[in-house]
Amino acid sequence: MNTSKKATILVVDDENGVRQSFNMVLKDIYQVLLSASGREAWEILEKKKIDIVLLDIMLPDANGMDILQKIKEMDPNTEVIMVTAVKEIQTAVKAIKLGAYEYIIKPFIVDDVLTIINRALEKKNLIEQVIYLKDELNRYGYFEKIVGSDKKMLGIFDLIQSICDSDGAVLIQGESGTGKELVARAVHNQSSRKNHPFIVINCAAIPMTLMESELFGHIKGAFTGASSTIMGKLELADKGTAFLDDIDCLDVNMQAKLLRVIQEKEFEKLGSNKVIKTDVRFVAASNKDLPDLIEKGLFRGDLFYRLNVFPIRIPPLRERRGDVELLLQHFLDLHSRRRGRPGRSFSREAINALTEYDWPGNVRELQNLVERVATITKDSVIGLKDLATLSIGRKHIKDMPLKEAVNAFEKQYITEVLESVDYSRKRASEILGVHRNTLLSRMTELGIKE
Amino acid sequence: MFSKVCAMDVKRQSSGKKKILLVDDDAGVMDVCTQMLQHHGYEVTTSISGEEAIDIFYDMHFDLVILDMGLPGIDGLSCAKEMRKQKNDVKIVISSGNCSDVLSGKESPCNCFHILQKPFTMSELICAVSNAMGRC
Repeated sequence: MNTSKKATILVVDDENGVRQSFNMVLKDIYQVLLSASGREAWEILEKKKIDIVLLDIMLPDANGMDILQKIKEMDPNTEVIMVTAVKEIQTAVKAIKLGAYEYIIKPFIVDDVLTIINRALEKKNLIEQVIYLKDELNRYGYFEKIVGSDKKMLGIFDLIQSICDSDGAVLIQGESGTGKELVARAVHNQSSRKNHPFIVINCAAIPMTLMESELFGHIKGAFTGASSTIMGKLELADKGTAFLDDIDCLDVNMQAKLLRVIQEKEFEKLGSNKVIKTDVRFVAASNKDLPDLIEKGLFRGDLFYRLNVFPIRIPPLRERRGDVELLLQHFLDLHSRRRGRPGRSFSREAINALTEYDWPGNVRELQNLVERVATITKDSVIGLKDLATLSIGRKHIKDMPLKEAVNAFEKQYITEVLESVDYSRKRASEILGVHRNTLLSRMTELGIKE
Repeated sequence: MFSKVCAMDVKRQSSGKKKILLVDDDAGVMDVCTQMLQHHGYEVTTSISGEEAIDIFYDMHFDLVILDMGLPGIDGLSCAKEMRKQKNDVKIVISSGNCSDVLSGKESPCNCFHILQKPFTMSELICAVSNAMGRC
């Protein structure tokens, strides 16, 4: 993106007076290149990056329209402004349909030329920014948010790539905190539906009585309190993706209704007979064992098979311990960037301890831990002692020198007592059997903050 | 849209603005220079030839003359001399594609305030005019 240096404008006109006029007007603000013919212009375009071309419609050796098309093929982001005499306006309008930004009539008004060029450059800069940001988002969204080098995760990435353009339903299974929604978003973002909505339906969070209205919408007066017509989530997800999280929480009734929508690709709003056609890709997730729930009669087998076209199983973090170090550094980097403190890391001992931990809460638990420790600890390198207040570090205190281990234990114990009495130092000192001043002194020495 | 002012159609106006006579055979350059000078608050009269410019100069008062050296017919140098005869202290800004010739010539225009090397930018033109106007 050309943000700080001057934009480059190429003026292509066989009349010297016109070239000189443009040069006079633009040279103070932009870098100006002049050419008297189509051939000269093309030589310059092949060698230099040009932001704007002021192109005469009638050149001695070429047709301005042909040059316009060639420029747009070479770099669609180069803006072309046609320069034309009054009698050629029809051609100029045709040029705009072929991709020219605007046209200028000779003899031109200086202010108009400067305004048009300014606007063309703004448009160019905006397009370049969007391309850049989309690219960053693609890279960042897909690779950085689902961090993993373990071969099970690489297998999932490959699977996502291969299924993303199908319309088949996806069923994501994995323990809580493994990133099921991230995987669902990745499936959507890699598909041709990426420019359409990704709608999340949290089946665990929505009361059963409201679920039907939430999914299908309702018309005014459909029930007491329905004061207006509302679009449901399925209607909002049209042409996009509907992500049904914790799908096991849907009651059997709703499961039947959902199955019908998936099969028939249509539904009615609550209170209405009008059929609404739907084009939605369904992605569902659950941390329960669905086949087990089917056996118990709590989940419909036919719905399961409809959703399980592409099953994705996300392994718990303990099954991919190799990714713990990667994830720790990833979340620490995010935290550090937000706080303007780059270059922080975990010590080798801390990483080893955290890798051995089983992470019942998976990646979410890891992320929370990093957030907590990185906020509380001021050092650039986060060590084992900083984890001592957490249950994770406890079993590794035995590897520390005695004094350090005693301090770590004391810090943890005092913190737990303070937390239990809401940080009342009076009550804490009574429980600990020490004077308040002693407590305060130990808190300061051990770095315990309220 | 701005339209070129024909020398013979100019009416005498006492608008309080400084008056410039702009002489150049290139209509495009003249048009752009006129717009810029007007934008900066000057009243501009234009001419595309030396002979016409001399006639206009005899007819009206001008604070400054911007004179292209490479005019058809009577050249810019001769034009400047004629104007000097009419008004010895007339301020002149010379524009030329080859200023070294102008400066080394045996008969350089005397008392010219500034020489503008073509192609010049708008800021160079305005700067030259402001400097010339300033020396009164």
